[in-house]
Amino acid sequence: MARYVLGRFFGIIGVLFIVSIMIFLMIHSIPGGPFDAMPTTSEFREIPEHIREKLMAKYGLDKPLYVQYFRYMWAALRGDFGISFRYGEPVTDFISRSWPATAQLGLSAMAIGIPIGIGLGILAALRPNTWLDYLTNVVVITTFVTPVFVIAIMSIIIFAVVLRWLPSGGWGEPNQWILPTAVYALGQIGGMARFTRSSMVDAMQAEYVRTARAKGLRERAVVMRHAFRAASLPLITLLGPMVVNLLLGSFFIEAIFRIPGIGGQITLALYNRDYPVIMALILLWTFAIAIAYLVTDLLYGVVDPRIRVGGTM
Amino acid sequence: MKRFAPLFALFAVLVMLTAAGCVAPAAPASEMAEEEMMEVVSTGGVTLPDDAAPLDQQVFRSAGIEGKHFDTMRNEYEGFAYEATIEQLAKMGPEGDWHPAAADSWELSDDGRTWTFHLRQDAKWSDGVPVTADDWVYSFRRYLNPEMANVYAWFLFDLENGEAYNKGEVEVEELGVKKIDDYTFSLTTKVPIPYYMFKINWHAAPVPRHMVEEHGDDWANDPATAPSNGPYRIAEWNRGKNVIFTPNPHYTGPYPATFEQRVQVIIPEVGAPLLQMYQAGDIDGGVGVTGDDLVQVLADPQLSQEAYISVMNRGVYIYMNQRTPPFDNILVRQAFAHAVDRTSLCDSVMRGTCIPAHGFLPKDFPCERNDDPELIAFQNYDPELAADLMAQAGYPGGEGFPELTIYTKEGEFIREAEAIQRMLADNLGVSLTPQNVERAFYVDQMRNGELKVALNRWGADFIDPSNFVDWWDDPAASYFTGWTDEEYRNLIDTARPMAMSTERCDLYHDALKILARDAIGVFVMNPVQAVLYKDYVSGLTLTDDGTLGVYNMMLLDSAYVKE
Repeated sequence: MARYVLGRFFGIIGVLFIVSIMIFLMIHSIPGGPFDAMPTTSEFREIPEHIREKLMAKYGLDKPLYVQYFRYMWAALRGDFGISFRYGEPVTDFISRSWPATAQLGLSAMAIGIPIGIGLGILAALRPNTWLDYLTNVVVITTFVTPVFVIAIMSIIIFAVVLRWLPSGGWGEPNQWILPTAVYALGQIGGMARFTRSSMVDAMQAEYVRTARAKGLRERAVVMRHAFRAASLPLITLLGPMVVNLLLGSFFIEAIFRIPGIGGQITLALYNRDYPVIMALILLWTFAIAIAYLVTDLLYGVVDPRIRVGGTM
Repeated sequence: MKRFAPLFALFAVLVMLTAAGCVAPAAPASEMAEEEMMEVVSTGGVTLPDDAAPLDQQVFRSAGIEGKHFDTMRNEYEGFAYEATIEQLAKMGPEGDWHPAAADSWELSDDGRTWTFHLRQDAKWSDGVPVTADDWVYSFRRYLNPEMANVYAWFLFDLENGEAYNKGEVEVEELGVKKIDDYTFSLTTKVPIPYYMFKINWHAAPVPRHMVEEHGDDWANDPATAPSNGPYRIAEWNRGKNVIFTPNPHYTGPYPATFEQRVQVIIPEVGAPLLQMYQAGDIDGGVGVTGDDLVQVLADPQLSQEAYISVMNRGVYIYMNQRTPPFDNILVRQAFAHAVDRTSLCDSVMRGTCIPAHGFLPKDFPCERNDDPELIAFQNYDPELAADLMAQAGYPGGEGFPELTIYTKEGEFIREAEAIQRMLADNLGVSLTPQNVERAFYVDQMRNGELKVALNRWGADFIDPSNFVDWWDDPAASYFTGWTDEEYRNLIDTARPMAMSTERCDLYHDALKILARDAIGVFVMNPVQAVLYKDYVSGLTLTDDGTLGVYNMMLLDSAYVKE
């Protein structure tokens, strides 16, 4: 087990190196650079060449790409991810002040959305083709097909503009948490419920469920201990990346509700050609996804002894 | 509300699950009667009018994106939130007139090149240190200091030796910025620039030399080391959330603070629903809306009451790269100019959110003569003439014309570009595919000449026609098309240093007619915008006919919140 985890861990480090090279090459090959024009003015003004050169030199962008890469990695290995061109502060400071908001939002959305989604899915699977199933289906499909920014804007119009119950956005006061958390959670319910329902419908028809019932077990035990346990394998597969996505935030939710998190930052950083921020966030994201899959694989073993990894625990 | 019913039900369920305490803000009704009897005097020392709300409600909230620092004189990208904190030498009022601010008075030398400013002698930074001519001279020099690598340095290149000093070719003493005594300094320009007051007062403010020398450039990252010379000081910078300004206790100038707090709510660079924020009461004003939002505002009984409508100082035109075919051919460009139905674009497609234009100066801009029939005739909508010109150019019915992409950027002008490509297809038989791209790509492609055609815009940096004509034939300009013309250059070089007069406007108008005649750009429209201020924001400094005025720097100087 320990050997297995250690092996995977070295694999992850390898992946991070490969990703870092790929991303580095990709971001430097996109047309346009951080100092081509003044981006925050309403119009473009060319930056005079002698000033542009000075800025490029200041940030080391005048060196050959491989030099820039090795400099970057050497610093990164010592925990220095550079200074954001856009915000003028170290990338590590920027992430450590932005990430808590994103994480809080993601965790609350998870805490609400996942249990509700699983619960709805189980209920729908237990009563297939009844009103409960249909209602669940309506909820699932509505939240699935409506883009999150539409739901977000509509929720602002309803609760902030018309009813005036809640602020339109911002972050810090508890009443500012409600709308984005609810909208974000709503987005998780649909997928979770749909997935749970289909796995549960399959599981409920399996022979071991019939056996369990024949043994005279109570229905609750049949559903939770036998059917759900089997049905949760595909759910775990889904949960891994889902948790990562929730912890790394949503561009739309954070932009529309003005949440100072990292959710929108990859997109914005690409837009601003803010190389240090792009690199750091993509590496963070890669690392999180890799860890999530590792945890998922270990969890399989807990749920289903047949696929326990690395032999004896 | 009916169409929201299903979603509403969903939200209701979720809110019940998640929310416990959401309390609607309520005004303490019992206290109001007492307050009405008392005079309200702001912390800044201003006796507010009788209808003013109590002091704790004297807060004004606006929205803006986050900057990097508060340094107006080191815009590596851009400093921010300085509107309330800096005091310029002079302020432009709603009618374009100048009023003393940090300078009590100023005079211009006989040769029109040297501006001498006499500073207010009791002026202090918000930490109590006096503001002197040394601060001002230091700030201008620092702005152009080559070591600063200031991307806005070009803005002061018209100072004597401004560009040379910035390039490191001369010493700082050669720069046209001189201290005369502790409270007097002068600026000397290369040539007479009649609109120089606007230029320097829009961008320039002093930096606190004592802080810069102690903390380096970091002084502007922290409110504690960033004192202001204006009516408000920076009290808090909550990154990603807001910047809070409170009255500057050491302010002695003519525009003391009326509000107890001004707040800049920080919004993300894209995606914040500004209009909804405003409607929800999370910001009090300064929200500019265009396009579909404007249509919504005009149709809404409440919002339309709070809207100040104006034509923006922006010209929208079709950019055509004239270095290579097909747009090196004047006939093609003229055909394009006559093939765009501007009236139907603004009235039908854009539902009245723009006004048609045939010349480049925005409506009501100094020297604007867009009604001149001669100017209009160069680019009027005439599909038959357009088709003829296209045939003469060798593309009858669009045959043989390359398939091109018409670019727009940053989500702007998407619908306009769709409509225009449709008109060009119908009238000329050409096929252009609209594509919206991000700005870095757009600039890059324009710079290396890959981009052939775009729906582009130009907005005023300062209120003088030179800002709209100076760069067309300048190879260093971002939007250079490859076109140059001696007659054009002579006209604008003659006009530029002249004092504002009919003769000067005549010259600019002739230059603008050349742009229209040779279809260097196809001038399409000027957008209309509404700027919203809540009805409880009273005392705005407006023009005589009740509009916000162009670059009115005094708008909020006597504003307050009324009951």
